[in-house]
Amino acid sequence: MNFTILITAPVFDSQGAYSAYQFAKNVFAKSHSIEQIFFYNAGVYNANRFIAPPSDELNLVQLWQMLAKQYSIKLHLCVAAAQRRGVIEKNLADGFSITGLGQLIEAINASDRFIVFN
Amino acid sequence: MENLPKSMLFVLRQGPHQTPQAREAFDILLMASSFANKISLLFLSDGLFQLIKQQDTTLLAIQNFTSAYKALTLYDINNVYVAKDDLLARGLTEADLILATTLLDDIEISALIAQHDIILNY
Repeated sequence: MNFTILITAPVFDSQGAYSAYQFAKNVFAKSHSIEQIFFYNAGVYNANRFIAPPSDELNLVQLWQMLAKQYSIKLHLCVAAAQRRGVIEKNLADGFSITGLGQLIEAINASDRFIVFN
Repeated sequence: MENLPKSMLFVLRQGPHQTPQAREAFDILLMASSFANKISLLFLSDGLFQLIKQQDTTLLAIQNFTSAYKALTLYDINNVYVAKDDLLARGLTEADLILATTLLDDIEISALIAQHDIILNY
């Protein structure tokens, strides 16, 4: 199965984004694939490279980056949602790209399954 | 064969203005309509408040995106469903809503979900 995942939950303030990460990891563990991970609404905060929790706490931005690198997956953000929340090229974490909702719809149409994490 | 537009059911459960979730979900459905995806909307729970007539957001200093629901047919979106029990529970009737909808009970909602390729739960 090929999945597209939509994340609307922010980093740190809600559990939704980490649940999405755990799901994504297990998609690969079960030998499925991911077409695209798309960050929208407050989910765009997951791409802020200045997120810096204490070293003994979870750094989800880094986890996303490692996952994207290991499995060559795309981490996309909606430009309009990102600009409204101050996530722009300047503070964009490596591995993420700023795109648009059209990319999300294309990914949905290209995948077998679609799941939203709020 | 590949990448045919999928049928999408937007399940809209949140009130219109407290957070931008509803408004941003609306932007997804506009984009999806431009990709020729077949789109249906299901309003559940407080999502019903998105359809109330004559909303005025002036004092909230935000745009009132809900008036655009009136124009859904321009985007070829004709399938709008409302949970009957949730409407009654909020003291609303069909006359309070900005557009014509189809009222569904729980069993019909299950059937509606089963008819779509993609469920966008918001």
